[in-house]
Amino acid sequence: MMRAALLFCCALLPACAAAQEDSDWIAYRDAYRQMIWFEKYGKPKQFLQNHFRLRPRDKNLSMEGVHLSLNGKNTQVALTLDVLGRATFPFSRAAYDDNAELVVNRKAGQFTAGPWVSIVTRPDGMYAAADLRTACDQLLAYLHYAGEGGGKHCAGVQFAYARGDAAQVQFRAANGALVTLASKEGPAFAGDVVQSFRVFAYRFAAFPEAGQVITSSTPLAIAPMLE
Amino acid sequence: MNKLLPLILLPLCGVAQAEDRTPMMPDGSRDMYAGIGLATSNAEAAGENRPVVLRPLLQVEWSNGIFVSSSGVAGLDLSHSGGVEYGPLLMFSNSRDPRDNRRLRGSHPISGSLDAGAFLNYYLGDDARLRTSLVYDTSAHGLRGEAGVQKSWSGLVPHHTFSLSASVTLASDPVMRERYEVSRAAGGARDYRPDGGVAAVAAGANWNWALSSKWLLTSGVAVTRLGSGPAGSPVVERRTFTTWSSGLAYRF
Repeated sequence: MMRAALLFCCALLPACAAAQEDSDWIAYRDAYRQMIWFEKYGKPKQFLQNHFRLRPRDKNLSMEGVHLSLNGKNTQVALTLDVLGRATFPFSRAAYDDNAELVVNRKAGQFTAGPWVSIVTRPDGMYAAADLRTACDQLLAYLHYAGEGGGKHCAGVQFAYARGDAAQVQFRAANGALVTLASKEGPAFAGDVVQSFRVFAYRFAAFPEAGQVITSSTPLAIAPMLE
Repeated sequence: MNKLLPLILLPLCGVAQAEDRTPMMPDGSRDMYAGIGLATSNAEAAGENRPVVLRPLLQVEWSNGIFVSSSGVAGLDLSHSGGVEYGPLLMFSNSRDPRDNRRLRGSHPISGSLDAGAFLNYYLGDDARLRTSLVYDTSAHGLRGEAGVQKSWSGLVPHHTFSLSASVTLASDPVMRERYEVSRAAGGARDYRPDGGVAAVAAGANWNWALSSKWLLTSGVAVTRLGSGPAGSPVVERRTFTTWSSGLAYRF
C-alpha cells in the first residue's frame, strides 16, 4: 500500500512540473492511431487531404509563433503549421517505437489536436462544379466512416482567405456567363472559434449544375458546407 | 472471470483495422502498458472476501492484431474495416474452493480455467462503442456472454479521459450453477439450484490521466447488481456491491 502511494507521488511530480511550463504534448502513438484512419480509408478520396490540426479553443488565439515539433529519443523535427494550424503528419515507425511526443510551445488546453480533413486546392484555381460536388460527397462519406457527420448533407463548399485578401471567386456557367460570389467574414471551417477569415460560400443549389468555380488566388482552405 | 482491472482505455479508434489490412500501428510495432495497481478483488467472486490487493497491470497490443491484458483476457482482432473489431477471445477464470470461506460451504469447487470464445465491438461514433463477447466456460461446460456500451470524453480537460459504461452479463445453466448452486448434503446452509439468465448488471466510470506520454494513471469504479439467480444463493452476501481500482502504468 505504502509502496503504491509512493509510486503515485513520484508519478505526479513530472505532471506538476509540466503544468508550470509553457508547452504541451500529445503522445505520437495516439496521434498516429487517429491519423492512420484516413490512410487506410479505401473509398474514393482523391479530392481530400488529411492534416494533423491544432484547432484554437479561444477566438483571440493567433497561430503566429506557434511551433509544433516531433520529439523522439534522438530526433527533433519541426513540423510546419499553416495559418489554420494544420501540419502534414509524419508517419514514422521510429517515432512510434520511441513513443515520441508532439510538442507545441503553448500551455495545455489552448488547442484541440487531431486529424482534420479538407478539400484539396488546385494550383490553376479552376474547379469543375461537378468535382466540388464530388469532393463534398467524398468528405461526408469519410466523416460517416469516422463516425461523424450523421444526418447531414452537402449544401456546398466554402473558400477561405485571410482577412484583407483581395481574392475573387467567380462561377462560370456552361454558357460563359460569370457570377461573382459574395464574401463575408467567418470561420474557415464550420465550428471554428476564429471567425476572422474572408469566406466565399458556393452553394450548389444557387447555381446551375454544369460550370466552373474560378478563384483568383489559392485559398487557405476549401471546407464542406454540411447542413 | 478474473477482471482485475478494467482495460486501459485506448483512443477509441484503438484496435480497429480497415480495408487494406494496414495495421493501426506501424508493421511490427507494439503498444504496451505495464505497471502496478490497487484493486478490490473480483466483482464476480460473489461470496468471497473482496480485500484491496496490489496487482500487476499489463496490456499489450501488437500490429498483427493480438492483444493481451492482465485482466485475464487475450484475443486477436481480425477486422478488415474501421469502426468494428471482432475475433477470437481467451479469458481466464479464477479457481474457487468451498473451504476458502464459510459462506462457500456446500458450493462447487471451481478449477481455474482458460475459456474460449469470440468478441465483437462496434463503434457508434461520438466516442461510443458497443462491446459484446461470448465465451465457452471450459470448467462449467456452459456459455457466458457479456454485452455493454461505453462512451468516453477526452476533450474536456487536457490529458484526461473519462468514460462511462454499462453492461449485462448472461450465463447459461451450467455456468450459473457452478458458481451459485449450493447443496445441503455437501455442508451448505440449504439446497439452492439457480437457472441460467442474467448473472449481473453493472455500471462503471473510468478516469485515465496521462501524466506524460509515458505515464498513465488509470482509475475506475463499478457498481454491480447480481441477477436474481445469483442473488438468491447462500454464497452471496450482498446483491449490490461496488468495486474500484487504481493503477499507474508506464507506456513502453
